[in-house]
Amino acid sequence: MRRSPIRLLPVKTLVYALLLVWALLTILPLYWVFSTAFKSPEEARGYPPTLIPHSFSFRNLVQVFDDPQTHKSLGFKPYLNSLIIALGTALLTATVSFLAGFGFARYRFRGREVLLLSLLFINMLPEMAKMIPLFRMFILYHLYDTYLGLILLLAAGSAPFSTWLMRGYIKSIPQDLEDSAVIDGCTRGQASRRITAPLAAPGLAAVAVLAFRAAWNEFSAALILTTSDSVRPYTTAIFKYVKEHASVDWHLLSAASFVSIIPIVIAFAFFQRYFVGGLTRGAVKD
Amino acid sequence: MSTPGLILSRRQTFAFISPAFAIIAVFLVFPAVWALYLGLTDLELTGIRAVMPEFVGLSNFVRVFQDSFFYNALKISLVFVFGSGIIGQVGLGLLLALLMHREKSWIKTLVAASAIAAWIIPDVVVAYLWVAFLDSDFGLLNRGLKLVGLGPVNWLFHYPLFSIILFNTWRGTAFSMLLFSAALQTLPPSYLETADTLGASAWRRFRDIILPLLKTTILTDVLLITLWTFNVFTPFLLTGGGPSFRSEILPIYVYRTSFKYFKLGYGSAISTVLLLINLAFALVYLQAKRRQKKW
Repeated sequence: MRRSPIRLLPVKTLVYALLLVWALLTILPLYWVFSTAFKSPEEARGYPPTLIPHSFSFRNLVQVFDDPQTHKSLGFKPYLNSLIIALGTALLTATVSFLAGFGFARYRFRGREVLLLSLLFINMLPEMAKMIPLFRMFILYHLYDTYLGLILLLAAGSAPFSTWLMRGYIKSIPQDLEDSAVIDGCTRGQASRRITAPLAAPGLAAVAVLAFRAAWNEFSAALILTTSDSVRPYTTAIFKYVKEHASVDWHLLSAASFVSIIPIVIAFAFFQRYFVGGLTRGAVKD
Repeated sequence: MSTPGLILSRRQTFAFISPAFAIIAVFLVFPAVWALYLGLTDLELTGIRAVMPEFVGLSNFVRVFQDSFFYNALKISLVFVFGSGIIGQVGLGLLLALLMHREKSWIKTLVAASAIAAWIIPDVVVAYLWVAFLDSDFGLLNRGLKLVGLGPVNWLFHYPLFSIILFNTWRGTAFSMLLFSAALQTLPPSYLETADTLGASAWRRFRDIILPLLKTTILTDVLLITLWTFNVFTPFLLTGGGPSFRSEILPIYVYRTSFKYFKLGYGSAISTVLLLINLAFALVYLQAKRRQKKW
């Protein structure tokens, strides 16, 4: 039974208004920068600012990648570096956290909860403090300025939360299927890979997307632990770009920002359904 | 509840969890322990103390607790965490999730998409985006204020703490909202329908049905958000901690001490104190969770 529409209407309007205001507030700064990405340099700098680009063009986007005249471009390389690092991190994180999550979900031992929680808290020392030891470590083991070093570090950073999420997810999968596979001659390892992993796909997708996002967005570690253009991800490349071209070119900066969010938007758009499902079963139903 | 029991042998379990633990040990625990040790030394980035740091015991910590910059940063951090973390991300995230819960329309898609958009974008981009948005000449916010006859306001200069709270709320609300939305989906619709039939008010529905079922999720979210917000460094890209330290949260103070004044040992000691504060929050959380007897 529904309440009378007379009472329902103002509440509903209010709810809609609140949500709409929030959505607008969220989108506005985004819109502001990303519309600037398509403006001409004059228009971007001009006053009063324009809401809709008069001179809509893709020139800035092209200029981000290649600009033979001013050499004020970032090039493709930083984006390629970021893509390699982020994909590597996502893959490694998904693998190790699936295995660890499986171990935690299917085996009971004393102190398991404490171990699991200490996993979550371990990452809580401020990043800046860990940079000093990490810098020395990376030099010592030739991980400085390599893809591998960053991937390992970023996967380690994502692993605790991901393991926790995977463990929750795998716990929600009945283990009878694995048991029967084992009776039919599989090892536990094979069963986890062939039976559990496909069933845990949404959880794995959630974990991979989270790790991808973290790696794609990483800034301070990349700033301190990379130095060459052949490894440097685009986040620090943009930072360097702004530092070197003291006068901030809003139109170029906006264009670079716009380009930088494309992969992450694709990843989320593609996996969003799994992502929410994975969070639900992994984190909520624990 | 089913009890899995001893499915894997001890050795098998070890094999499953060891890859994750190996990289965590090498890349998280080891540097963290090293950093804790550095807090007990007078290591600096340059000069004689860069080569031969001395073990100074707890004297760094004695200094921390007499350091007015530390208390300033602690106070600002607490306001920042409470404002942008608890009220902003958790509170607003919960409110949005509740408002959206039973709507099935374009507005739900719009709110979710915009919040996710704000959340997935790289820190560096977001920081520049906000610098641009708040800029006194170029920024859209001041342009909007001008339309209604206000401003322009130099936000980052006059209201630095408010600016970074706004920024961090904008930035992170999506995570809490998604988590709460996911939790609300597990709530049996019949509960709320029954409450509707009985004519329960929105507040009663929230207090008697939703809150008890969301308790664990809210606790987990509060903990995660508190810890993340305490450690977040991105406001540095907006205000650099200034002007005159008015937005200097603890991680920025650590950065200033370590990488601007090069006092690595002292910076590590401040980090250790920050870690202890986080640990205190974690313990409160554990207590609260234990009281629920969920495990």
